[in-house]
Amino acid sequence: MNARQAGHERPKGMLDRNLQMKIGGMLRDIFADVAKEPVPERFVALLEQLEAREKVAGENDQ
Amino acid sequence: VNTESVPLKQALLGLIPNLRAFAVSLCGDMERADDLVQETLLKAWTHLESFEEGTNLRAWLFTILRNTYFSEFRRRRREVEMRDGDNAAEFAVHPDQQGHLDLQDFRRALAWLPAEQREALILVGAAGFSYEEAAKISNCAVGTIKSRVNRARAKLTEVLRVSAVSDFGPDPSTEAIVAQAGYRHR
Repeated sequence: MNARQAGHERPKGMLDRNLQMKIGGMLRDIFADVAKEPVPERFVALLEQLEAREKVAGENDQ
Repeated sequence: VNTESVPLKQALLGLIPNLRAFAVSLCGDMERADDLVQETLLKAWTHLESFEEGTNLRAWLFTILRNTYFSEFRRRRREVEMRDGDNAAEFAVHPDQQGHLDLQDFRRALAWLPAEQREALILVGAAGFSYEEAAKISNCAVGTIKSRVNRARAKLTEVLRVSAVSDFGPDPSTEAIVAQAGYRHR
C-alpha cells in the first residue's frame, strides 16, 4: 500500500487490517493450544513398542 | 537404525505436540488428528531410510502427515461431493454468535477453506515455516504457496467480517460494510 492510499483509507480497509491481525493471532492460538498439551499416553506406548520390536529384531540378526 | 546423538524415539516424542497441532488445524477433529499422528509415526519409523540426515526432521514429519491427510481427503472427496470455500456467500454465521468473533467462528471458517489453502496458511502462519519450507512440504512451487496463503487470508477476512464488526465497532459505516460483504442477516 502506498502513502496516498493509506491517507485515504476507507473504514472497510481499517476493519480488514484489524481483522487480519486478529486472524493471525487466532491461527497461532489454535495451533499453540494443542502444541502445549502433553503427549498422549498412546503415543508414548506406540514408540516404546516400536523401539522394543526393533531391539528384538536386532538381536535376532546377530 | 540411527546414529544421531538424539535417539529417534526421543526426537519423535518431542515433535508429537507439533504434529498434533498441525493435524487438528488441518482436519478440525482431535480424534482424527491423533489417528493421523499415529499413522505418521508408524510411517516415519518404518521409512526412516528415506529421511536425509541433517535435514529438518520436523519438516519431514509434517510432509508425511499432510500426504497421509491428502490421500485420505481425496479418497473421501471422490465418495462424497465436498464443498469447498470458493463461494464466500455460502458461509453462514451462527445467529447466536453473530456480532462477535471468537475462536469457534474461526475454527469453522478455517474448516470451510479449501484444504490446500488451509494447509498453506497453517504451515506459514502458525507452524512457523518459511514459504520455501512450506512449498517443499506441500510439494509445490513457492509462488503457489504464496498465492494459497493470500487467498486463504482474503477469504477468512471476507467471511469473518460480519462477526468481527462489533469487535472493532461500533462504526457508522458498519451496515454498509456488512451489506457490501453480501451476507444475509438472520
